[in-house]
Amino acid sequence: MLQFKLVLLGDSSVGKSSIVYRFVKDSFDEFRESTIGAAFLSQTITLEENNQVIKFEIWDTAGQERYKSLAPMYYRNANAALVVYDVTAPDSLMKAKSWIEELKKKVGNEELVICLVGNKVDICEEDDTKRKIEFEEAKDWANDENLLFYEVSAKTGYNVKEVFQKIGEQLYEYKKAEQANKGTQDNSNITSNIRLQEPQASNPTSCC
Amino acid sequence: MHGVKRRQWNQELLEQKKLNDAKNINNYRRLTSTILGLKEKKEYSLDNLQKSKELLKINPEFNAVWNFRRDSIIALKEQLEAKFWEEELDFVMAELKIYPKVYWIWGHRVWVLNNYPGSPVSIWKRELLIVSKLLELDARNYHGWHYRRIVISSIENRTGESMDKEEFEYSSNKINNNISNFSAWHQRANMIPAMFANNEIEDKKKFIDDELKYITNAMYTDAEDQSVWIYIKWFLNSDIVSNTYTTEEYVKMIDDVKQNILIINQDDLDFSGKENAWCLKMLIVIEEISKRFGSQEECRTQEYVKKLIEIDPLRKNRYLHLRNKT
Amino acid sequence: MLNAERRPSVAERRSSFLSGSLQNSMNIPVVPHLAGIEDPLPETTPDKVDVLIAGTGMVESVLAAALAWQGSSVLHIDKNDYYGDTSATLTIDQISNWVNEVNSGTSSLSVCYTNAKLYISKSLRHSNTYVSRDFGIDLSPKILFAKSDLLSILVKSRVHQYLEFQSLSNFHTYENDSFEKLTNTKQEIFTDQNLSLMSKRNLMRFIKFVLVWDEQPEIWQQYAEKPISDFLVEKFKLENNQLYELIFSIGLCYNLDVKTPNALQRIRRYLTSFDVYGPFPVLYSKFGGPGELSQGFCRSAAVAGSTYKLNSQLLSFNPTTKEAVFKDGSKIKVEERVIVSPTQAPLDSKNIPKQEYEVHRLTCIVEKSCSEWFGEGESAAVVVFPPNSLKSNNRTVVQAFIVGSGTESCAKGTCIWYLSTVETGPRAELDLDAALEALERSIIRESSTDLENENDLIQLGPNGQTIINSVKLGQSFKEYIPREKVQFLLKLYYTQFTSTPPFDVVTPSVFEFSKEWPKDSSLLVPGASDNNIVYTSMPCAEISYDDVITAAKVLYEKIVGSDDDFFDVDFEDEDIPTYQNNGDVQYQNTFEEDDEEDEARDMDIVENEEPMGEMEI
Repeated sequence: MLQFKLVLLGDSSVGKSSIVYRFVKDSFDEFRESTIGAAFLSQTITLEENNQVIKFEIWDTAGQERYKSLAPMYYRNANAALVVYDVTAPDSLMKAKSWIEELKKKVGNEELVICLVGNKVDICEEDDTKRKIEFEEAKDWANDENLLFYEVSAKTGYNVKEVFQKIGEQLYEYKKAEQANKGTQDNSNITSNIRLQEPQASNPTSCC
Repeated sequence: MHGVKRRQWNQELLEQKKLNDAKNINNYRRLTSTILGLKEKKEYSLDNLQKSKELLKINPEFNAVWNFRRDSIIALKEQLEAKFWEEELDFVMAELKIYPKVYWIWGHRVWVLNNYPGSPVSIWKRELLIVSKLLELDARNYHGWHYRRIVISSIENRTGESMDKEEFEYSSNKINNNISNFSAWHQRANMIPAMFANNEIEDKKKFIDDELKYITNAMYTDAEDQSVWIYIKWFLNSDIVSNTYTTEEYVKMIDDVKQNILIINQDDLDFSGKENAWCLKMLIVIEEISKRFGSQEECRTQEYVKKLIEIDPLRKNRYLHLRNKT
Repeated sequence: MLNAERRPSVAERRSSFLSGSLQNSMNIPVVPHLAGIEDPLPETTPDKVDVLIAGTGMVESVLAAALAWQGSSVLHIDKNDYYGDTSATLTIDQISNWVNEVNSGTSSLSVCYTNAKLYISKSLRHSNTYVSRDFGIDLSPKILFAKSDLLSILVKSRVHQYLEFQSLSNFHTYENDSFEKLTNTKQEIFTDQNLSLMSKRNLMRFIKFVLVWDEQPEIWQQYAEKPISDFLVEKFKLENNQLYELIFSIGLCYNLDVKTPNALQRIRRYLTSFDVYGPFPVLYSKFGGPGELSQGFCRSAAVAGSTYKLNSQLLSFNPTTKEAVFKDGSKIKVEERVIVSPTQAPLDSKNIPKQEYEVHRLTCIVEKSCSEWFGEGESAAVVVFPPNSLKSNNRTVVQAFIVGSGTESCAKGTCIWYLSTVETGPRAELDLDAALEALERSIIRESSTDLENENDLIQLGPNGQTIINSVKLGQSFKEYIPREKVQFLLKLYYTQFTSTPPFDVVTPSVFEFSKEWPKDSSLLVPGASDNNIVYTSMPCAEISYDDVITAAKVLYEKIVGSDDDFFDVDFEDEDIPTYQNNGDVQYQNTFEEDDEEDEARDMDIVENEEPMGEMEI
């Protein structure tokens, strides 16, 4: 299983959380290890091509984006980002663009997978006059910027799974390339992390 | 307050758990009667082999099923793929990780290794690495130590070379890591006579001198540790010591140990107002030895026993028994 | 039932909790509450909150998260464009700005810090090798004991999941011009070649005692008001170098006169932390210490519904109208309390508690990895300079926390040295300089390749086993004349003030305030912009996080009324019975009897003889 950190970005009411909620809830398994009230949500997918299991650790902004108050911690070591705008809100694509600039500034990782996502297409299906941002406009820009691009509906679930599948595939490609290069890297002198939830010994006096 | 909510959840979940359990128990009963039936009729097949695995995963303490599995493996030997044996070892290891104290699983592992096609020394050497790793995780697992002996003697039988010295070193390392590791002291007490018997020690007297320094060090480091004292008792009484030292040297050595124990005991008395029970017990042991060597010193065992009963009245009868024995 | 006076906690307000009876709860899907996701935040800034907190330092952040999970609505602001305030982890650029602000004398920062001096080398300023954000410099660096209040809160609140931790096992005591490594475990005492038998015994006895010292008052009571050094020498016959290790490296005390119970508590803190997560007593977080932890707790508070606003400065608070006004012109009504860090006090404030104690800090970035000081697989160490060990004849300890690039707080090939002392006045800087010089000489010696006495490093044990002689660090370097110099990329001096004396973890009186908003306006200080604001305390000199939880708890209790439910976070996935069978208990009863013939046949396992005889003598 490969694990990746995915962060959500975009303005406050574009429906970032609903997309994730749809993604996580749709395939929610009653008895899986759940992530309630937890640091982040996690959800696994299986790549169709090769059955590779990918686990996403999804970080929501928790509202800290409202006053541009996201902490460096939020961006740190992110592998993928979902930048969301609202196809019915005229300036939300502009704002998504500024989030992408911010993202590139904060995340050093050149292999960061960014997916631009236009949400709420269900509204346009009912009433096309509600659409304020054309598919082509966003798509062309995303192509220029080398971003993945999808229009989705968190409400109906349209394209939501596809977004994560696509991101998973891209991440897998990067990972494969990275592992191929690994032979040349120097892995000595690596400082290892300690997992806090699993103490190795509970006996405090065992040192004596 | 939150307890209320939890109880609600638990009620609901307990219901589900009950249902689930009932299902599992049924499944288990069905499997059990199937396998025992097959065993009775000696029906061995790859399919039944798989069934026994399922059952053993649920209940690894069911030795009859292990036996059925072994009989099946023997019966099917020709049909089994080459990779079967590695898979079987993996299966056993996975079980051991969950149930490290189930005797039958260890036994099955030994059996698999013994019946491994060719049973080459390389798989036993690999096994030694595995058991060393296991003992790193749980240094005091008795089964692990026991198993280690089996692996070592399998290697020795196949190479014809003694590994006593390595094993002695190994016990030193484990004791240095944790002085209270009874199994490691035990292993040491196994290795030393073996090394003497096989003439693996160049300078026996020096070896005994060093060992004395080692146990004196241990005694001072922790005078409350029973592993240390039990080892000391074994060592002082051991033939290898009395055969290596001259009587004069032996008597002097015993007296040195005694003096050290008296110092430690006095130090405990000064600090806490109480004498050290282990010291008193060892002093009795030492008087016993001294008497055998015709010591003229006044016998103080009665006095020690009296003190022991004062410090530790719960074991009164044991101490009285000890006195009557001497 | 719910106490009417108490605000229901987040857990209690969940729909699953409110839905009541058992039958209903059976219908509740096990789909969890997706905190921070389920309920989209309101479109606009709230016009009133329960608690306003200004400053995102450690104490304020822990407090915000505790309040948020308890159910209070919290607006948490910081005048800076970064998180952390007095606990911040700053880049090189941010440090430069910070120093300028301290020295400008125009902000409340100058009440809390003075005498900031910053040197940045040319090679760092005009470098192609380094960028500003390669470095994260902690304003008040801290280490985390493996058994401590903060650590259990980190796990309980799950904030630890946002963070990465590494171990720290190397504590060095500087003595007679050399670094001694600690001998503090049974294992090390047993194998140490240099300790006499009686010393081993004394040391072991003390270590066993100190783990349960509070249960044995008869041993220490007559020393309750006496210095720890008297107690250790008279009662346990410990020798000088052991005294120093125990008091200064293990206990991290400031001088030999620390009172016995106080020091015992601190020594035990180290020893009980040992082996909780592995053979080390202390952890630190990657990417920076308290700066990272603050961010983590703020995020947790946000998940529980708090509102966050950086770049926001409190201008004034009016206790009569309960209105807080901010620099950008916005206003908010605060129902319960305004909590402010001294560094974030509004202009014209007149109620900031006196910050009378000094902590002097010297932080350096050196162009050396300093890995010689670190334990295997680690990237940090603590070095303690006991009183009178330095050229400056220091009266109090200088503590150094060394952080290498493995923590990702600094660029590869560099290392951050955090030195601090509670010495006062001009002596403090002399002590810090002397300690810096000692560190510098040591690292040059350690990292130079021509170690002359290579043979001395390895000794033979009693059984011929080889023993590495307390690493290279144990060697004296008195005669060593450095040939090269350490390249300093950055040097930063500053004096920090705090209301917490060097040994107290927190002084609750600092947080005294009346329970009610005053009806009587004569109690208010005329013309003050901060009437009825409660100030938090500045970080104290303590190198551990021990003060943080205590301070946050005291404040929490003052606001909520009791600290019973401090971080009583009740995640719904806890305590749910698992569906995996553990095999033994349940199946025991359904067990069919084993065949008689099925004994241990075909197996090599036979009981070993017992050479060591009876278990008991």
